[in-house]
Amino acid sequence: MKLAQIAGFLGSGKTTLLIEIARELVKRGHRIAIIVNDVGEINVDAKFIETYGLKAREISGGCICCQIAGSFANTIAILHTTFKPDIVIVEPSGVAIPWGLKRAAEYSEAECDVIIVHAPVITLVDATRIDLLMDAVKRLVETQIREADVVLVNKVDSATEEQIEKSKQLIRSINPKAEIMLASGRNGKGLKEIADIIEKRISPRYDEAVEKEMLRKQYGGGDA
Amino acid sequence: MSGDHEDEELHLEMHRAADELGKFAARLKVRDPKGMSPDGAKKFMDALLVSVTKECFAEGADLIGHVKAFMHTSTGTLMASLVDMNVGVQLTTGLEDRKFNEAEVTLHVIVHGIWDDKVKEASRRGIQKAIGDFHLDLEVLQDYFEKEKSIEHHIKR
Repeated sequence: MKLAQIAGFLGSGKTTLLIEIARELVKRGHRIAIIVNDVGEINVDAKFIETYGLKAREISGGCICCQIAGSFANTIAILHTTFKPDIVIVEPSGVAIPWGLKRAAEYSEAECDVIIVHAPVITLVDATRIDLLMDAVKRLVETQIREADVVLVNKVDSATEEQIEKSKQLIRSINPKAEIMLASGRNGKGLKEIADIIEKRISPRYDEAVEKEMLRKQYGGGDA
Repeated sequence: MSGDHEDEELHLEMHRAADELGKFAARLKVRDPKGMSPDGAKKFMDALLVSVTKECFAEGADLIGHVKAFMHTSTGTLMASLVDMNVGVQLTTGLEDRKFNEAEVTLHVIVHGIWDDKVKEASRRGIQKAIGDFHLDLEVLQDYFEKEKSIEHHIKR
């Protein structure tokens, strides 16, 4: 079973894009389930996603990568047993870190007969708010970009050329290895390419040493 | 510093970075004895999100994380989302073209610059203002409020 993470700061367009990607993958014959996570106990997104006829499960009450990792693994195991999706798309809250989420997903292998394969980690950057976000929540945005395999500069239909270019430069400076793509959930730009990435490509499994090194670089002064 | 302790500190710091955001959520029952049209529902949801956000900014918020609400009625659903005041509220409607008397509204408010207690106060004022302006009856079904829950499990007492 393949697990695809779509990360990004609040308001970056994750839910809108996720719905369109899921519909595209369903059209291609895949059985798709969606897991949304919020730090709050009341979730809005799962209810909205289900109005599109998609299978959605919500995990609330904390961070998916640590204190509710067990609930996440259990949800994956239940989905595997009862719904048998071949791709599970996960929309983590802004709190979760992609490597921690990979680890939590792999816990499900102990709960049922499933092997988790990870699609490339996709992070969305809202091009229309890039300056505001870098002023107010720089560390969070940097973490999400640093751990991504693919970074989508989203909302390009309403962003200026300058905002798009600035977003691309920022992404390159934080994560030179990341593949950068332009996207819009509203007009469908990039949608088929993102679906291809999720469908055909894979990302490495959880590696504790890699996660620790990333956390140290971000919060612990680099080579501590 | 032991490896475990160092890891714990790093993890805690990561969560604190994320918890720069103030959060509030509520599940509301809204009643309109005269009946609410789909157009009226859109206007109400727009006013609700703008009202709550303005109150948060008046309290000191400097950035919208995401302010959104999902309305569920006997005639369908309506999703409203506000990320940027200059862009305005984005609505996705699945309401049938007929009036309804009762709706359940789930509201999520996440902003930067003020903490949860201030977001709660501001959101409550914003809700009351929108409810008053539209002459609706309100019942709070669930009112979620907590501070730094996401890092609480790391804090040693």
